[in-house]
Amino acid sequence: MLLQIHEPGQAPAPHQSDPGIAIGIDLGTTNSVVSILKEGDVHVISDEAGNRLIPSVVAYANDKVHVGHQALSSEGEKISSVKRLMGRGEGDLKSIAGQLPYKLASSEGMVKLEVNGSIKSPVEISADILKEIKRLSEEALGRRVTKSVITVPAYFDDGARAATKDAAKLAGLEVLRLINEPTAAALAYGLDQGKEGTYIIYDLGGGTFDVSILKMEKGVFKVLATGGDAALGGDDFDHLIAEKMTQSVTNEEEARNVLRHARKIKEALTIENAADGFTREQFNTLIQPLVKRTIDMTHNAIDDAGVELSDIQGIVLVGGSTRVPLVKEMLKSTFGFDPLDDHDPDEVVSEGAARQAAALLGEGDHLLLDVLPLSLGVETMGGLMDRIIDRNTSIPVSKAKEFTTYQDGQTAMMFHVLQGERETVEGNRSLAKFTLKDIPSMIAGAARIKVTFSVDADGLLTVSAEEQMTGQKQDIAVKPSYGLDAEEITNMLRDSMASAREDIESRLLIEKKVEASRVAHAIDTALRQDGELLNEVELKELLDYKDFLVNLAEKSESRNEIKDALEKFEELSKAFVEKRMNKAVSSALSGKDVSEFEKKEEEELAPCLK
Amino acid sequence: MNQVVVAVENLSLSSCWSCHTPFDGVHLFCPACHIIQPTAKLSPFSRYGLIATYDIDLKALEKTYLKVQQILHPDKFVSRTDREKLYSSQQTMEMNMAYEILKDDVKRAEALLQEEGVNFEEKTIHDPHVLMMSMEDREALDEATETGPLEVDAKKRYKDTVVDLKKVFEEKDLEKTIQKTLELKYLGKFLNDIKDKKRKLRENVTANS
Repeated sequence: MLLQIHEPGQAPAPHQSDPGIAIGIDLGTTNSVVSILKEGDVHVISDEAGNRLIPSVVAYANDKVHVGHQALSSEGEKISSVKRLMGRGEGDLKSIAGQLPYKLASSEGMVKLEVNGSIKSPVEISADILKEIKRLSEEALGRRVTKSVITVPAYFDDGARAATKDAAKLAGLEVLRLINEPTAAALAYGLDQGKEGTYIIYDLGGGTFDVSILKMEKGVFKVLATGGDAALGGDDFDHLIAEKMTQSVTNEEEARNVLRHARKIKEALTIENAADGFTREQFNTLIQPLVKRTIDMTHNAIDDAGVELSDIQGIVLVGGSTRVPLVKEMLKSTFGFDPLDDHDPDEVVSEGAARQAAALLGEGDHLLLDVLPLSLGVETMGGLMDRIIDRNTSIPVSKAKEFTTYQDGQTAMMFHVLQGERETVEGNRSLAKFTLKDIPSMIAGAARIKVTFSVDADGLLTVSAEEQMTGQKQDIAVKPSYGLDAEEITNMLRDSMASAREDIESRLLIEKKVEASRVAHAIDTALRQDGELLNEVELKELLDYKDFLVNLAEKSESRNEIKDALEKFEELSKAFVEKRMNKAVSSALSGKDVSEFEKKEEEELAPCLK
Repeated sequence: MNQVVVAVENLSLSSCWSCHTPFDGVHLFCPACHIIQPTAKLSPFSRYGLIATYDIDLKALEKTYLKVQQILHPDKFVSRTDREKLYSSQQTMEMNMAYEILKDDVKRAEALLQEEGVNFEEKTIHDPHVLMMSMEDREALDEATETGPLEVDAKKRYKDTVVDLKKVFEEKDLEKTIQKTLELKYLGKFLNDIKDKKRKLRENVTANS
């Protein structure tokens, strides 16, 4: 690293040279909004047709990429709601795969999409939206734009945050800071109206619900607690209406039309008392349980913040779904005051981002103090998560914890980095795995491995592990397994320039083959560990099918053949997987039965608590 | 302004990494060129310029914390060199960690006792009165259909125990201090359990409605 050395007193002050300009981007699931602060006022940048909301939709037609309103009217294959896939692994999507309006391509780690015959990662698709935002901003402002503040849901985990930063990089935008959407909204209200005190920021978007408790005092915006549900939003209201519509649905296209219709009804009911045979009362009854859930979570966040209801000065509304009258009514009846809604809920987040972007370049002296939304930790022996940094801890933060070896003479330790609030590994998000090697051979429990978790001001994590006894230091920095490494980004940038077309089908086939051999290997390991859970017939059936898969992985030339085999296999192994899960949970709970872990290879041992 | 937090002890001689001017003690910023300095090893108390005592002014601490954030936070270093960014991040992390310990009645007590060489892992509650109380608490919580009265009572006991703890710290009775700290830790945990129960009750009501 090249360091700048300055003479005494000659160091550049933050605002000495022209710091340039920075835009604030609300990169939304449904719509994106971009703003800039000029002479104290926030300006929303609109597209050529004058639209202030840019639909987060990308259309891919042969060589052309269209974004926003142009994409909506384009003939190409359209991708929407890609934000939901940011930082997601394939495994995360099994449960919602059927509901997604696009084709998933099989891949290790990060999920990929099949679009118009090519394969795109959510990061690349997001980058296309950001490129368009950059272009619109440059045209509107008449100058180059390279710096930005991008907002993310408070509930975005580490993988999703890293993916968002990667997308910006791919689009040629430096991210000065990722900030949380509710915090950005609070900033917009607080700076604009000089609000002081403790506020609830209630953010109900299309697909996510975020709630933050924020204390605003003398220019400092301190997040006390955040909570929410990454899978609850206005789209669920649409689904509830759609379910009540009598129309039968036979294909995806029809399903999409019904949903579109349902959405129209919802929007109409915001203003009127009846629409298309639905009354607002019926609608309210349908969505009441969902709204109640958001209010429960708001209460939980207030508890987490360590404040009382009487400390709360007001509620700030964010997100298009807060236009639903029942939401306002229930908030008012629960908390006793009218929610603040005089800023456009679709634009308020972008407005806050623009204000923060300007502040980071030295304009304005307010400060945002944010927290870690979800706890971070590692897997320990027994399949449990040991927390290293608790949620709602102020960031940036760095914490360390010591672990030890499980076996005599163990020279390596596998670290599985997790994020979430559950006790067992299964319920939490897997961020990364790495192995610390060359631990001096000692008796079990003698080694002292210090694991340090650091979370920066963007909420991004780095992990290092160090053997303490011998003083031998070995740092390993990990990136989330679903993010992209620097090389991948370089390759993508290069690939996007050289329009070399790969043979998609052969790549897909190779990926399927890899998947088949991976599955075969996984079941092999599982059977070796827990084969005794099955009777002889079941065991033989699985073993035979495993051999069949291995054979396919080597010889098959048909992607569909492998795909079918994998599906059948999933069916076949279901019972076994369930039995294993039960066993793992019960042994985790008893905390005693560790015999199954002894069969693990030495290199794969998880750390033990000291 | 840049020197709000200067540790009183640890008067070693060091020099600025940037302008090489030597200075006494620990500074967040070089007194000569005002460039941010790397972190030093300090106790949480020293980091906030406090004498290591249990009874501290939490309001004043919060003020200092916010002041410190306003000059150290990475957001204030966006246009600076990578090295300054790194130091800003590390300094803020240290300040955050120290604040977390100081503002917490239990962690602050543990930190002071650790300086006395007390190993908390090995300590358990001896007081039969406290043990009995914890069993009764557990039963009451299991049977509770609303948490309000339990919470009010536990909060009061927590507050009273903090007052007691201040007293035993002052009297320098180590064994009593350890026992009171454990009692407070228990009450903190119990308050958390109450919060969890409250959450569960709330969710059940939603599920049944």
